[in-house]
Amino acid sequence: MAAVPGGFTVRGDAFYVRESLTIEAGLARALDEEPDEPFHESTQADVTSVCDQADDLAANDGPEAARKFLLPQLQQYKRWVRSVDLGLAGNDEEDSVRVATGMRGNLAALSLRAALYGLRAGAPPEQVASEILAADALELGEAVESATAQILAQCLRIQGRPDLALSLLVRSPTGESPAQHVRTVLDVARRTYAIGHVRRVEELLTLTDWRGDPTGLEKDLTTRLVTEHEPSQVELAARVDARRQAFDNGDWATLRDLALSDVMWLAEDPHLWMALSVILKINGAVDQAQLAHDAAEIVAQQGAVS
Amino acid sequence: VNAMPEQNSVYDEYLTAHPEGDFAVINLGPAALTYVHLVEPEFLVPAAYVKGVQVDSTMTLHMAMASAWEVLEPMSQDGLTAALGAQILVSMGGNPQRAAASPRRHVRLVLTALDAFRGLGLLRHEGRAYVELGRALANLRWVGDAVNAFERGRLLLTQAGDLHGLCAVSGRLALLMARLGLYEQAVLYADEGQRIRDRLTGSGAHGQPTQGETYLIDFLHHERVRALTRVGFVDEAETVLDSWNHESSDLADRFDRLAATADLRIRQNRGAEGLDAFMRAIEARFMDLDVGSLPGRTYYLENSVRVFGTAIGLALSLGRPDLAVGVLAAMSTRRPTRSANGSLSPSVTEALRAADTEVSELARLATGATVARDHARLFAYNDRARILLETRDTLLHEAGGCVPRDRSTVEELATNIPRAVGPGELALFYGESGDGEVIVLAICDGGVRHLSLGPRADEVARLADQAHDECVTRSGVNGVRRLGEAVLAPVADLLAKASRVYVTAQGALQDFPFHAAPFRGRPLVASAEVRALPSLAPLRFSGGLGESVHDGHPMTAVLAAVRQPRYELLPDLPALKAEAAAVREVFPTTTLLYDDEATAAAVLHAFSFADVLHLAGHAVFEPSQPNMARILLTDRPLFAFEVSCATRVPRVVNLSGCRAGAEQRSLGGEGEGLAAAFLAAGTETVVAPLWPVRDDAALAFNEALYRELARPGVEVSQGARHAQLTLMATPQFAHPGLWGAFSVLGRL
Repeated sequence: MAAVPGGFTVRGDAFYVRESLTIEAGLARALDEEPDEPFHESTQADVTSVCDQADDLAANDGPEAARKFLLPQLQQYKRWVRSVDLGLAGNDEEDSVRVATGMRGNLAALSLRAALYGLRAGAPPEQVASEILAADALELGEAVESATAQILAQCLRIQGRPDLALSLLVRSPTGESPAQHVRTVLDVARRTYAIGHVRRVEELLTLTDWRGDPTGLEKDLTTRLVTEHEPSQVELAARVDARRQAFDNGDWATLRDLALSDVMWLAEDPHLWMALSVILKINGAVDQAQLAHDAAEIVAQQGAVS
Repeated sequence: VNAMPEQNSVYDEYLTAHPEGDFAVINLGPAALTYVHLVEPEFLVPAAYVKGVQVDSTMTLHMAMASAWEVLEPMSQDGLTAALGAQILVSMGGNPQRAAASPRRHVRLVLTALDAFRGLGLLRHEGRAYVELGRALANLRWVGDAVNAFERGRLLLTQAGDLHGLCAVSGRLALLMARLGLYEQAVLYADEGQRIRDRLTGSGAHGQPTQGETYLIDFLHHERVRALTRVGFVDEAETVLDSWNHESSDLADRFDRLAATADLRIRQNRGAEGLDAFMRAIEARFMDLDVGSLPGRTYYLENSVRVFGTAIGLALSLGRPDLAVGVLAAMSTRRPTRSANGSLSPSVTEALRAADTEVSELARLATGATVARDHARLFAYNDRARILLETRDTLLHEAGGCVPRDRSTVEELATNIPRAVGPGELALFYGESGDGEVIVLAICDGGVRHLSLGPRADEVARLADQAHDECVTRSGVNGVRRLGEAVLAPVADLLAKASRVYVTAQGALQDFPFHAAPFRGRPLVASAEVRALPSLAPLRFSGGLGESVHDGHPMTAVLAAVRQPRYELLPDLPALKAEAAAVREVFPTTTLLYDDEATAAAVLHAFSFADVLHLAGHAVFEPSQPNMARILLTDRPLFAFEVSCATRVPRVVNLSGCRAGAEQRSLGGEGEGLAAAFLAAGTETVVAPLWPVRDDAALAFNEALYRELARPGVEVSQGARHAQLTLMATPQFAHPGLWGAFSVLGRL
């Protein structure tokens, strides 16, 4: 009999198979909402269409509807992944490891979407974080890891722990938008400062591996929270003269310091980012300049972080 | 013991239905519930377990919980009862070794417990079963389901108002998050656990914490300090560590606290203090550990590998390879050997006798399973053998019936081991560093050198596989040659001066025949004696070095040889008769147990008087069941776990059977297997093949070995070396897969 791709054939040691079936049924009773339904014999699934449907629902009926639609789908995927782990499904493919990884990727995609809609719908951050952690997506590549970290950081922020959000973000990859990563990091750093944890910011700055900061801009900016105090109105006014004087003297290092300080301490503004970009370019920090430029464009399009 | 169960305990119904059962009730009182894997104050143990208990007997809770397992099978005959569920949680939750032995079985049994509790309105029972399920799933690394189980447990325990259970959920989730590298989530969960814990008052006398609460307190502190350290919030980690030090009681295990201190000091760039804390942690676990048994140690080792690995790496980075050697030696202490002159109380003697009876019974059951080729049962029996060994060793320890263990500190070991390696000797340790480098520690001339192999660990593993295949199939020598050159290259200058080499190899190199590695164009054994040591620990023990089998008094030799066992259809081994003759030539008074006479009982009896034992026949070794490693005697197999229990073993053992020298080795541990069992029980030297050998090669090797041993003053390893060289020079045995199979283990 030909094997069915993505399907399953019970094979192997009889004791092992019997035990796998017992565990599968037991876990379904213990952890699933609809335990009596047997797991599907085929693991073929189109996660893209599920996500599209969820997005349509979100657009038409709001994030809560999308989440409501996604959660049962998620449950089914979890059961498939479990069956794959137990060797009861997805083992008819030649490359069963690929099937298992694919299933995990699909589960992660759905979990992230459900979590995102959950946060938008005002679901408790503890619950959303728990769902994300249950997706076990950290080993599925940098893109998924970054997305997971972003959502977890958002949960931590809502839970009143921006210090932990900051720690998580600086250890995580930047993902698709390094500029967005910079903005998120600065936001949680400012919040950490605001709740009086400047020492924690300082401790994180002593860490050498800021994985999400290949250009060093995040660290350069965050350092301002530790090395400077929040500028008063009088000091801000004095900066106009200081800036002019530095410009006249060709003192690009001072100009850079002032621009970094402005971006860090003042409300998010595309002009401040753009000014920083120009000065960084003059200072020869091309990658940092590009990042600041991208951040300026995002702020201009989306507005400041709320 | 044998107290009445609490009112409304889930055991009530079962005990009413079985008033005359073969079990006893152990009731720990209300404080029992501070242990999260207990859902009732009592649990059952076999009646035989408490039969010999007298006033002066010592019984630890861990031993009692280990015995709870034995009641599961009779209880399960009554079907799915809540009492069975409670007993499963004691049996698995109270025995991390057993849980770790088979994670799938752990999950399956806890699911059975959950099924037993479901629908009965037993919120605490069900909630705690979910916590245990989460733990089991986390061990399998099924993260999603583990998180789900913990969350369900949390919900039920909140409804039940079970603060101990809720503390445990938070601690377990913190641990799981830390394992995943999500230290921020770990901080969050550990903080949450701490907040719940602050609401608890001590359940012990005068409001003091009980042992169960002490464990919880330590667990939460440990997770908090570790996670805060990893996140980088070192100030807060220091504060938590202070309060942990302040709160810690005598009941607490100092290992975790000291290891966490070490991690924090490293994070603070205070490496020397970190190393000091690591060494004290290692001493706390291994020097003062009352349960010094082999299986117990294996479990602790598996859970301490990170600490040991970091400590060794730190010692090397600080330029102290001697301390790395001290750490490696500290990891491996011999299992307790029964003292020859130690007198045991009648109750302990009785308990040991009961354990020995169980060993015999297990051997009988395992024989049935081997004949039926029932691997699942053998796997379960392997686990049971571990527990039996541990129980037995604990009895010996606590009753003072064993030879006192060496309690040297790491620093003392670091000094003493290089001194113990004599002139012309070289001791080598091969291990893998965390970043994929293969490190070599070379001990000679009173010092230690830290060297590295050229190829990386993955390349070494590939070559080791190739070399093993070449040896087993006796085809090609490219892998043996390339790997051999690579492992000896860094120490070539030291080898040039050495006449005797001890090798301890971990990981991929553990089965590599170092004596066959090429040195100056010839196998190393041509220029030096080569002896395998399961760990660096035996270098601690002086005495025995350089002694021959003829050391001034007549040696008693026993030979047992079985050409074909009665219970298995296996190829005949016609060469064994000649092998027997070779032994007799050296030891004319040899007691010969040939075929029908070579019963397990006769061989076990020979342990009590023989100095030299030659066991020849078919042998079996499966890495997943190392305690079930066996040599097939005429009436039944002799298992490794039986050897481990022997009160006396011969000084020299020659195991002439396929793979009899193979062992399952953990980092720094002595390993488990047939040869390892003899060494652990006190045998000084074992000669055994590492892989399957042709019986004509075995005969030629043994004839040459015993011919050599007949000469006065020849040591076993010298004899073995001569035999290896003789075979190597014989064209039909010239492949290293034949002459190189025979390895000398131990230190005589």
